[in-house]
Amino acid sequence: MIRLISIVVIILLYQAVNAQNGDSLLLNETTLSRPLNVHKKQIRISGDYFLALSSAQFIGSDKVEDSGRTRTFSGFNIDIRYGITEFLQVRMNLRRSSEVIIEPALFDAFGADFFILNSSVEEIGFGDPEIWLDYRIPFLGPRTDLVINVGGSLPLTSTGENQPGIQDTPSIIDFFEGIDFRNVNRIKSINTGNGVPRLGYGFQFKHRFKRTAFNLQSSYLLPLKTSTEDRWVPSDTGFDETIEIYERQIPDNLFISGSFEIQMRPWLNVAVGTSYFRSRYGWNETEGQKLAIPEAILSQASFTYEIIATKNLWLGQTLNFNLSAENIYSPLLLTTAVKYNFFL
Amino acid sequence: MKSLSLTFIFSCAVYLAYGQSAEGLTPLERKQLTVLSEPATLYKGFLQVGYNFKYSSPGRLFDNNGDITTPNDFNYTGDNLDHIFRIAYGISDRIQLSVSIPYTNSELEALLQFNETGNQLTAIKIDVNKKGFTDLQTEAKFQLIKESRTFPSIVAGLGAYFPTGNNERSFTTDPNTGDAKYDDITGGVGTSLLGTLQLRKIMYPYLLSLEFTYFKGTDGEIIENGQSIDVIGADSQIWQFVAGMHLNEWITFTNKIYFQRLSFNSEIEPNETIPIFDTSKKDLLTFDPTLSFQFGRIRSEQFISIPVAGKNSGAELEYSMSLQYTF
Repeated sequence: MIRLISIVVIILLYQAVNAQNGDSLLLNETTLSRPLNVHKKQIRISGDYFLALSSAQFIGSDKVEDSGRTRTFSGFNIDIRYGITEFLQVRMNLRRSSEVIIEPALFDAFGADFFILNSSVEEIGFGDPEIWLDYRIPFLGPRTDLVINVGGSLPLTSTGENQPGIQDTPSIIDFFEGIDFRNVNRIKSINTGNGVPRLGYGFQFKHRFKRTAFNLQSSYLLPLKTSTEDRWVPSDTGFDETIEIYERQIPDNLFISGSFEIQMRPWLNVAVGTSYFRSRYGWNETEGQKLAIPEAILSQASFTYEIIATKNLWLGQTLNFNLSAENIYSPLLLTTAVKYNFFL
Repeated sequence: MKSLSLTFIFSCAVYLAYGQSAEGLTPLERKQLTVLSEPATLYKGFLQVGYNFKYSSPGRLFDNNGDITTPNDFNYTGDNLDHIFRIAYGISDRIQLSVSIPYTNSELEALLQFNETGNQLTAIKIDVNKKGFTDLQTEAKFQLIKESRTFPSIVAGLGAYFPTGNNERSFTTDPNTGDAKYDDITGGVGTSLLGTLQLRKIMYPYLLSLEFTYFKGTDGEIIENGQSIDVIGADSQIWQFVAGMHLNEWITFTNKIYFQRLSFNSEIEPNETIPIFDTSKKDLLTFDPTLSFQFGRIRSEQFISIPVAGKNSGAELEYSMSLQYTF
């Protein structure tokens, strides 16, 4: 019994000493000075909540007038990382998003006297989880960090389209006597999984001065194979939907960002940055042909602040706004992040 | 036994000293209290000036059955922006007066699209504008019972919304295209009265609060294209439950559960006595996670209102940010 108590006491003492080491590490670090990887045996859990305050659609590089179109976009991202050694960390990333686009649909008549048509596209759900290994190059000194990232996403979440729903409701419009209006809305629900594994690689670089630092980051994600998906197609004469199986290639995604940060106070760090996102090489099979998905480009500027609320808990917000875009929605995006750190 | 008694006495002394600490603050320290540690009403002589910004965009709705649906009859594009300027003053340590001046700037483009069998698609565009100062809001709050170590504070409030907004609306159409322009009212219908009862308990670093507000609307009139139209007032009840905690000495995080039920005083005819997008009964339940930063006398708050359930109300998120300063 005494032996058992001794073992428990030793374990508790070890954990207490270890925790003190970890706590003292966190206590003395600022956003600017902390390494890009977490420390050995450190766990960081981050939750980011993002909300689009407004969105603009770009077809080609032209901004499309939003006549009758509404887009709402929000979600959260969970990032968990663990320091295997002082230079190697593993991180897992899971993202849930909700994107709803409601727009007038240009279908032809379906036999009703009069009707009003909307088309809703909903993409709501978890995306494929991503797993990364980040290796921080040693011996570069306290001012410079260079991290090599290798990882990718696993096709664990649902993909393809669900059978569209039709909402058919009476209208309150009585502009024309003797004519019954009705509302018809086709709701297309798309799952957010990719259906195929993707391979990713990239790097992060940071160089520090006394109170400022430069950051540069890049990542590239590409699918390892083509996928087979379901899609529902309305007939020409009504809402009889037929299912079609088709092949598709998920586009490659390139992401580059750079930022300049200032440590204003020991607890406050602000950064301004810019980012570039490009998605290309994707295609959908349509009537036996491979139809290219238009290349999408999004350049944004960002303003970020991070506050060290306690040595374990950090809070931050980022505002992203559009610089230029092609074939993509460009949101004014507000992201609120909470990061919690502890040591095993 | 002696050491145990000494420990007990020492603990009691510390507890008493801690309990008295809030009363022993300097005026400057009182002005720097966070939203969770300040009393339910302002201290005597304190003046608080604030600005609140709210943003939402039109999108999905809760229908009459509580299901999420897309807008009927129209497609919408637009932004809803609200700006609220607020001044509050502590008459005494128990009584607070406040005045809020809201300004709304909402632009909505509604597209009515229909098709006749065999004919070409027809679309009518309606620009809906709602711009200007809305009804002036005043409220007096009284701390009926001050918070003690064991009991919560009980606060009663009485207030009124005065019809200072613009009660004229116009609906004009372009004879060539059929497009229409609709300038909506910003208020000005009638005086509404409100009563509030709040229970609030600080258990540092935590806070619990339950608040009930009842709005009593009065009937009034609006002017549409130069003609006077009678409007039936709406009653509204709001329940708010708040559970908050300090993340550190100057950052707080609160979870607010908000429920509003709005009902009109009697049967109404749609489109005739109320603005066209309103319906006779509305329910809305939201969850509002809020972050508040206290930088000295400056306070900054942000929250996102997440609709959980509702009937005949909007189902999209709303973002809110506020700044205030205590003199």
